[in-house]
Amino acid sequence: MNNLSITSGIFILLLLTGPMLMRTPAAVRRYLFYIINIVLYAVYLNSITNIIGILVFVIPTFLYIKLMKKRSAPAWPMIIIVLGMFFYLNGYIFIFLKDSNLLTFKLLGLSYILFRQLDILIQMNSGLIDKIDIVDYLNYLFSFWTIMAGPIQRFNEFKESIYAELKPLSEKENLKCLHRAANGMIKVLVIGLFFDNIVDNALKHYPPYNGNPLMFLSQVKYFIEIFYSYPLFLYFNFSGYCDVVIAMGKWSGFTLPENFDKPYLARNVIEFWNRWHITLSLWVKDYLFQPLFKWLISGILSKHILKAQYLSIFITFFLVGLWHGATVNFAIFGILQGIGMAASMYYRDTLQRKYGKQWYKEYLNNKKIAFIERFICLHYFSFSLMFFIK
Amino acid sequence: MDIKEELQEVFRDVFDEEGIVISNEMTASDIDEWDSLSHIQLIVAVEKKFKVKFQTAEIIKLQNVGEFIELLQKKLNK
Repeated sequence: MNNLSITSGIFILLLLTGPMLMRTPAAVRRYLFYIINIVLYAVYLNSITNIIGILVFVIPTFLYIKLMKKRSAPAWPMIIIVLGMFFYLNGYIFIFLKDSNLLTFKLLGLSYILFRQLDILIQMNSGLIDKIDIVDYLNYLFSFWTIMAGPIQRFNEFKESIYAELKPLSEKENLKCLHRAANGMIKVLVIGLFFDNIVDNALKHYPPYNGNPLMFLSQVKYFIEIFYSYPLFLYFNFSGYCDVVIAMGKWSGFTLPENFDKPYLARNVIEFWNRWHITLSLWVKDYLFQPLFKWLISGILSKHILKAQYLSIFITFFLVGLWHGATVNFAIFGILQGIGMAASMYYRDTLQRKYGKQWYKEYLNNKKIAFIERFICLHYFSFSLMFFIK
Repeated sequence: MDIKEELQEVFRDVFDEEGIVISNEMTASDIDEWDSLSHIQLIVAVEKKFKVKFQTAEIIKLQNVGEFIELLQKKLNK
């Protein structure tokens, strides 16, 4: 457990003192957060290598955006450099170079810091961020509310949050926030842990298959336990954590975007990702899927809109898989998400084309079909998660 | 023909519906088919018709048809 996990004393202390931190004058607040964010992140950097790693990762972007402002330089050269550094710092390079002597880094929240840098670069490129100084820049990148695992806030949202004019919350609203945070804690520490234990136990005792049919039965039993418990663990752990952070943020006056909306009720993979890690899906929709799709239909696939759709969505979610971590398993997880997304789109398009839009509406309203689709979607995602387990 | 009328034609083309009448306040939720896929098709069709280019962040920021027209006007005046 690192010092920023949800059960760490210092993180809880920050969440509880949030209302006081947010009620300082805006000019003081930004420096107060600056100190807290940097000290907190620095504590986690337990080696000189890591300190150099993170500085090299974040400082060039800041210098470059100054250049963009002054000389109206385009964002893409820096985007390529940042992606290249991420490729190395987050360990992707070691998929290809095994047993190499390259330095390895262990940097908290790196994939989120990447997304925040890219958000700034792309927004700057269109002149949608008017000014940014080092305090706002680093506060955004290392914002303690979201440094661990999101929700992924955009720079402009972040600025609105941190400089918000605070209105007092009514007693009812206060209680609602604290209630949600307490429920979030229960989701992480009781329900999540409960399913985590089942998974742990099953993984520990998973027997090797030696041709004995009884062994096979035992394997099946443990597999079923993992297959149904791991998705529940992941949901309760992640959405519970988001509940705590979002609710405590709101209680303090710091607005964060929602990240979950009953994902296991989704009827297909597209709907699933609209309900699961929502801020990630929106981020990749804006910055990956849409630009890729646009590029394809303005060029090589201008006569094949449908093919361009399927290809763009597949690539997007393959990369979403890889973004989660630098292993072959995450790549497989990504491929499965990509196939699921493209297949869901293909299924929807085909039904609409074959039977018409009116028929499709009726199809969507059919409760039995909804049940079957939910069942399939849930099992497909659970299956893909088998590659997600570390 | 002014920009709005020309844009309306593009809308009718992309959404394949002759009856569409656009207004400044119109948003994606007013047209059933208007999702992120058709949004991009719309942008590309406008780019082709008016010979302009939209950047990623500009596309995301658009809230309604009025803003779209405004942005387009700005690009055409450049």
